[in-house]
Amino acid sequence: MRLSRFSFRFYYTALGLLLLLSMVVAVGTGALDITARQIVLYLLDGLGVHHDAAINTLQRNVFFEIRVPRVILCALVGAGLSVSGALMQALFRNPIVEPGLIGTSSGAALGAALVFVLGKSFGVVADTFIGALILPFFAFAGGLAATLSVYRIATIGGKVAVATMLLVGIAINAVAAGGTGFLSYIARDPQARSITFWNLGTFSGADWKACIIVAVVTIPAVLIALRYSKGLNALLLGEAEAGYLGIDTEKLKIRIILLNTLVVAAGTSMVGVIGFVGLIVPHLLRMVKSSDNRFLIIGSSLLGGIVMILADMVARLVIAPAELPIGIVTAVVGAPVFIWILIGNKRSRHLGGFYA
Amino acid sequence: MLEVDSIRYTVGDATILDGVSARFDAGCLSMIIGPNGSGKSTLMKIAAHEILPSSGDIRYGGRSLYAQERADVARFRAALSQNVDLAFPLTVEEVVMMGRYPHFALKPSAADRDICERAMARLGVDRFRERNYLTLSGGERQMVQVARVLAQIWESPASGSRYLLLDEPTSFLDINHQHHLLGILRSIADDDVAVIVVIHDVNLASQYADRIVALHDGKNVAEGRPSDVINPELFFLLYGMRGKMVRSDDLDFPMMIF
Repeated sequence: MRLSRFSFRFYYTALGLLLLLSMVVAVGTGALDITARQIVLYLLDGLGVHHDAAINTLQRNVFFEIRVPRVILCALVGAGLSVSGALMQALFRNPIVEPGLIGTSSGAALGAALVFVLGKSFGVVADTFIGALILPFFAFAGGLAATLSVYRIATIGGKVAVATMLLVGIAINAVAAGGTGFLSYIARDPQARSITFWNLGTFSGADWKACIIVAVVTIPAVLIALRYSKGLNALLLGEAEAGYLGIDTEKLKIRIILLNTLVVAAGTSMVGVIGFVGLIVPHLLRMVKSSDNRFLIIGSSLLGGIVMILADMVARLVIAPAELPIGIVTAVVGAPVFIWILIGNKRSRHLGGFYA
Repeated sequence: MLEVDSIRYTVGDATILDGVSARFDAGCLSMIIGPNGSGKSTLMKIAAHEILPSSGDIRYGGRSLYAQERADVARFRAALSQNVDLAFPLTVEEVVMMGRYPHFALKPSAADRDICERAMARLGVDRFRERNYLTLSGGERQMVQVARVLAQIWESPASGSRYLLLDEPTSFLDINHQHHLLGILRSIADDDVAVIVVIHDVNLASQYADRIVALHDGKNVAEGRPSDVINPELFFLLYGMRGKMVRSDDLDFPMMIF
């Protein structure tokens, strides 16, 4: 296979522009159409620049309080889940790993649901700053417990047994989904009662608070992950070779799992479980250019945002004015891609591995 | 100088290495021979800090391996395992560049790229630098891996020697590739690197090695120049086979025929 001739910088620029474009299109699209001219006006207005054009206050509020935070949250969660997919795939040395498959997402959802449902009935979660942090914290604890269980059980003699990993992932997902289902069944809060919210995700509740919480976790985590890209590349040769290259593989693995769980938990506690994005995005990047983890991390954070924004637009538009849970959109597109990767894998075993 | 000092390694009741001591000098191509299960690979793994011995010490340039940072050691000691696979596709160039990882923080410098280039040229893998590693043949892959470990220790450190440890690098190669690779290892050793190779083929060891270390049952049973070490008695001890030693004026090393 010929790997692409375009430079890394070309891809970063192209993806960055596409992300910007998809954001502009997404903030303009919905039950209320907002034109590009109006977007510019609102932005100028928001920055306090004086202009003479008339402003529609209702539209302006829709724009600033609903559309913009929603699109930004989409970009952040998409980036987080995709980078998480890339990190997990490097760690497990396998291209079919993603946070939805190995329990991270469902564990985080269980942790979040626990706080959401029980916390509300005990009155612990008030609308305070601390209250806002309890939710992601429990999501983190749940996601970490699930990920570590899958990783520990599936690792035999330092190697991840893929079949075991998938089976353990199914089991952990089932346990977590059972717990989440039970909690949503006993919940009084109408949103928490909706089991589809937890299992299929939605950005309908997006607000600035959610954006800030997810941004504060995701952006630093992605930057830190970049520092580990060399170590993750070396890990592709196996743990022994990575060690010979001076990398403390045990430390690296634990740090990656923690980082990954943080990112997934922050996103999941705000928007529920959204599958397959973390699987497809790194896969696409590997196909078009390279498996270099530095590229995958930067590329995933851009392409992940684009994919999530587009998926959310589809979710908003397909049965407008009602909304589909976004997880349905990502599953409908992602599951066939997943099968396609598996088939490609089966074939390429003869040719020397994935992507060969 | 790499010193292996009374290394013992036990797993449960089994003693894999039973107090092995040996020294490997810079500028010297040393080969470790011995039957299956004699502890060759284990000794390699201990010397490369992949596993810890039950007791004993490994010293690089007089300093204990365990008193040094992994990342620091990786700048003057490279090692290659028996079977290295790659989980995802990378180009040949990207794989060789991994050898420079201990030397740069985030991005390779011009010097790193230059070294990578020269290491590829030395192993003759530069002509398929853009190829996906996973599509290469076994022989080509091995050459790429050796280029990677060579790139890792390309430059001499400010003080001390360089070390290259290879576990059966020739086992999946055809005769041509075997001799090509051993010739390159020979020249790397001549560049004042301590090259230590685990090898099964005793005649290849005899032909290329400056020194041979023979392991049997976790013990170092012979050590020295090939012409001093290789004899039918040693081979009966190691392999339980009666062989015939051939010396001729055409050969400056002893050969065994079984």
